[in-house]
Parts: sequence; C-alpha cells; structure tokens
Amino acid sequence: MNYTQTPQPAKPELNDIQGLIINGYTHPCSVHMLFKFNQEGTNLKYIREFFKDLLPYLQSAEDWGALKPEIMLNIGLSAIGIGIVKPDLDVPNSSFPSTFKKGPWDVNNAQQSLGDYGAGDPAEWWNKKFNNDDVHCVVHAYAMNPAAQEKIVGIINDAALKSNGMVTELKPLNSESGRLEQYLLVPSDYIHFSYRDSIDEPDLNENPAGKDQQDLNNFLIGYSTLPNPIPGPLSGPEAAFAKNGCYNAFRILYQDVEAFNNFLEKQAEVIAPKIMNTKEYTEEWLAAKMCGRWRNGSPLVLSPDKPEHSTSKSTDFGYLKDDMKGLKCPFSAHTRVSNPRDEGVDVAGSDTVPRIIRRGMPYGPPLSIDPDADRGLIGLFLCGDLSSQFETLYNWINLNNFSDVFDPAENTPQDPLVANRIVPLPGNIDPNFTIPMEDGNNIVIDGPLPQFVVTRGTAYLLLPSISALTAIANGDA
Amino acid sequence: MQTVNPLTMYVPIYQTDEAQATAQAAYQGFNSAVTKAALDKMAIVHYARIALVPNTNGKGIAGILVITEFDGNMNSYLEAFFNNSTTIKAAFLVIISLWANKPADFPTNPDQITYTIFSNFINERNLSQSQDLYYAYPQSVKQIVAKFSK
Repeated sequence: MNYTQTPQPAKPELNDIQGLIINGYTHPCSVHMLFKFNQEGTNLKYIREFFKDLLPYLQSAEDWGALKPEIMLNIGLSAIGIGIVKPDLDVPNSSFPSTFKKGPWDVNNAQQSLGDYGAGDPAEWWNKKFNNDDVHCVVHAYAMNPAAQEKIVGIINDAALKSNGMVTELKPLNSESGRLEQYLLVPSDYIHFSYRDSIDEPDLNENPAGKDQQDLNNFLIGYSTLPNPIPGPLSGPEAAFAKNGCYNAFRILYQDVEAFNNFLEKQAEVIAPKIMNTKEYTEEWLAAKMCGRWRNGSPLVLSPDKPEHSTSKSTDFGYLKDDMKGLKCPFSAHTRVSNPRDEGVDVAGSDTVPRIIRRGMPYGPPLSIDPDADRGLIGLFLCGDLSSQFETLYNWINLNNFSDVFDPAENTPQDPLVANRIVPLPGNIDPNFTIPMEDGNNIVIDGPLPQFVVTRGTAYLLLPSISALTAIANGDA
Repeated sequence: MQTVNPLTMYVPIYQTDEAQATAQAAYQGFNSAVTKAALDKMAIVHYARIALVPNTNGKGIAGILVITEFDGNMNSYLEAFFNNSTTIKAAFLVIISLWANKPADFPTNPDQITYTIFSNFINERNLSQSQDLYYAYPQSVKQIVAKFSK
C-alpha cells in the first residue's frame, strides 16, 4: 500500500466526471451490460481496445445543451476489474477502502449490513449464471428510443466480441435477452410496486467547504472536507486514478408484486374497520404507511389523509416539528428510515444522516402483462463511501435501531417494504409492523411480513473519471 | 444473521525500550474511567480488553492483542471510533505507532492516518471472523442498558 497522500484539489471538473453521477438521466431506454475480463493470460491490448471503442459514447457531466444525446454510456469497474486493467495499482494491497475491495458478499461486513440472506443470499445471486466476482465491468447504456438502444447495445457488444475472448458479456436474467434492460412503465417515473420513485435526491451543491451531507464533495472522490463520509482512496497512485470518481452499489432487486398486492388486500380487510374507511382506501393508506409517501409521491407528513397533487413531489419537510409520535408517518416507513431528516439519529455517538444518489429504473414487464416474468428494480446507488453511506442506510432498513424514536429497550423493528426478513431472525428483531394511531390503539401487523424484495445480485463498482477511463484505453500508467 | 461481532487484533511491536514502555502504559491505562466514559457513550461495545503478549524468551513484549465484541459490523464499528471518539481513536493510533512492520512510507504523523488507512490496518490484522464468535444473547448494548435502566 502506498501511503503518500495526494493534496486535496479545489474544484471538480464536470468534463472529467461521468454524467451519471451528477445528472439523473431521463432517457426512456437503458441497458446495463455486465462484463468479465479474462484473467488467465490476460492480454491487456484487447481489453484496452474494448474501452477505446466505448470512449466516443462516454457521457461526461457537462451540460449537453438542448438536445439529449441519442445514445450514450457510462462505465463502472469492480475492484477486481480495476486490478486487471490497472495491474500497476496493486489493488489488493492498495488504499482503496476494504468495503470496495472485499465486495458486497463479504460475510463479516457487507452481507450483514445489506441483510442478504435466504433467497437473497450472495450464493443465489445473478440466477447462479456466473460467480459474484466475475462481474468486472458494467456498461450503463442509455438511448432515446428502442432503435437507438439496439444501436448502442450493438456497439458495446461488437467491442466485446472483437476482444479475442478477453471481454465476455455476462447475462444475469432468464429473459430472452438475459440482459438488465429498463422497462418503461407508465407513468415513467413509477416502480413495479406502483409508487412514484426518485423524488428526493441530494442537491449535489458544489460546496467544497460545506458541511451538508448532500454536497457533491461527499460523493466525489478527492474533495471531502468532512470527517464522515470520506470518499477515498486519498493516498498513493490509486488516489490519482480514483479522483473525480464515485462508487456505485449496483443492486438488482426482485419485487414480488403479487405478494405485495395480496398483502395489501388481505391486511386492508382487517384494518379497514379499525380506521373506519373503505377497503379500497385502506389498501392505499397501508401502502402509504409502509412507504412514508402515498403512491403518487405525497409525503404523509404533508398529506396525512390522502394523496395530493400539490405535494406529490415535495421534498421540503421534516418530522421533528409535528410527527415525533409517528402518527402521520410510521417510524419504520421506508422513506423515513432511508432519510430520517430531522427526527434525530444516534448511532455510536454519531448524529449524521447519510445520503445516497439513486439512479434506478424498473426491469421486467408488469404483473398485468406477464404474471410469470422476473421484475424489479435496477438500483444504482451512488456514494463516495460505500460503508458510511450505502451500507449504513441499508443496515438501518434491516434494523431500525438508529434513532431514539425506536425504544432502545425493545426489540428492533424493520422497514416493512424493503428489509430482508432474515429468517431465522436474530433474537432482537421485532418482526411486526406497527402503525401508531392517535387513540393509542396502534395497528400492529404481525410479522415476519412477506419478503417483498429479494436481492438478485450486487456489485460494488467505481465510476472512474473520464481521464482515468481514457488512460485505461490508451494503456497509460 | 448475527448482530454482534468480534475483533481480535494482534500487532507486533518495536523492541525498543521506548516502545515497550509505551505498550506497558497503554495496557495499564486502558481500563480507566476515561475509556469507560468513551465506550459508554458509543454504546456498541459489549466487552473490550488489551493484552500484552510476551516474547517467547519471556523477556519483553512481542505484541499487543486487542479483543472486543461489538454491535454491528466491523466497518461501522471502526467508522464510529474514527469519527466519533477521539479517546478510542487515539488508543488505536498509539498501537499503530508501535507497529513493528511498518512500510517505509507509512505516515508517522497521526493526522495523516486517514480512515481508509486506519480501517485497512485493523481489518488486515483482525484474526477473527463473524462465524468464529460464540454469543449467548443477541441483544445490543443499547438495548440491554436501556432495558435494565427502566
């Protein structure tokens, strides 16, 4: 490991940063193609050619003007992938964070935070079509229409095919193409559970001296001025390579829509009389209580009784002022757990509420079109520090023990929507979902709740800078 | 899934008189009111101790052994100490300063030890895995303390 630190630069250059990090793309089509580099008798010349063929379509964070590019791509590399294309960095002994080097299947760390057990165990990932450590590179391809998608996929595919077996595409799904392809739901910003998604994203203000967790310097390697998070590496040649990069926890989450719908329907029958409303209303009410927002996006704190168009994309609200009893939004609701805002956090002496950037999209057709199809979310969770941002939030989802709104003396509840039920349960988990009620007669849904979300695969990737990817293509040290 | 994890870290130390004395002082000063206050505030450590492992000839100290059981996984544990507890971070930094097998360019100034260097150092010297640990109960420190404070 090289311990010599690189001086901290002042300002990020947008033309050196991959666009995905800064901009939430709204291209209607995307494909996320996984690749394995041949490690035995690696001939770097062919792998460099692969990158060289992709560079013309690599999208930076610079403003693209009035017209969106018809086709474009971004590239992520795993720690093993970096080790292959940049052997000079000696990745295993480098100052890359151990979370990144060990991967999301690390039994001592990532697996415990992510709660990937049972059907979502790393041994089950990628439909067992390849090994977890085979994923060396992910190319995220975006297109304005299906024909353009075919074109960019063809370009990427051709680049791999002419690599003399050095770059092989991995196809994780059992679908016709086997690829992770975006499915355009209607409306386009909804996910398979019929919630509006990606409403609240970090501001990414360019604020080098700032202390706001939403600032860009907490996501981009080489700029952080805070003690936590600390996007790194910050020493050795790996710091120069990783500068202007950002990590991507690339996570494929199967969504069991049938189980979710059945759960809402069954529970609504029981709950409707208690809240003295119709079964139809109660289904939507319960869906909102589980998420923290109504399905149209209205936060329960602002619209406690019904969804409202005026609040459907609201992000300016908190819990401290008038919802510290969880009467509007339950403490365990998904959006409250993954962003507790001002409710107060106390984790081992820290009150930091970490943020992540989400760039996800649905895959697979909806239940109404093909009941048997695989469907879910292609999750791109971007962060500067995988452990203190992504894994911390995921750990909170699985174990709601991060705030004193949860009675520390009692067993630990879980996010009702996304958490892994972790069977067998550790003895200190409260498997029930509790909805606090004004009259004190809380609604308690006995758990464990069904497993609505199952991890199909995860890869920890670095989205390197444009210059780092260019250096790989050119074989520069 | 288990909610408590082990750290068993062995660090071979310099054989100089100064390093040996520092190790003795670290050992004697560890279980103090200051350490207790710091660990109580974190509320994630069930038990912690350090031990001095003697050289095989019985003279002097070969290395320092740190043994703890803590809530959460290793990364969150190390981040908590690095970011939120100057006392415990300082104790780890003393041990790092005594490490006998330092690479030539390893920072001697503690201010230059970033979280990545800190966490990689400890992770690479942890002799225990999660599955190695026997635990009689799954409750967290926070839960136990709160329960018995009622």
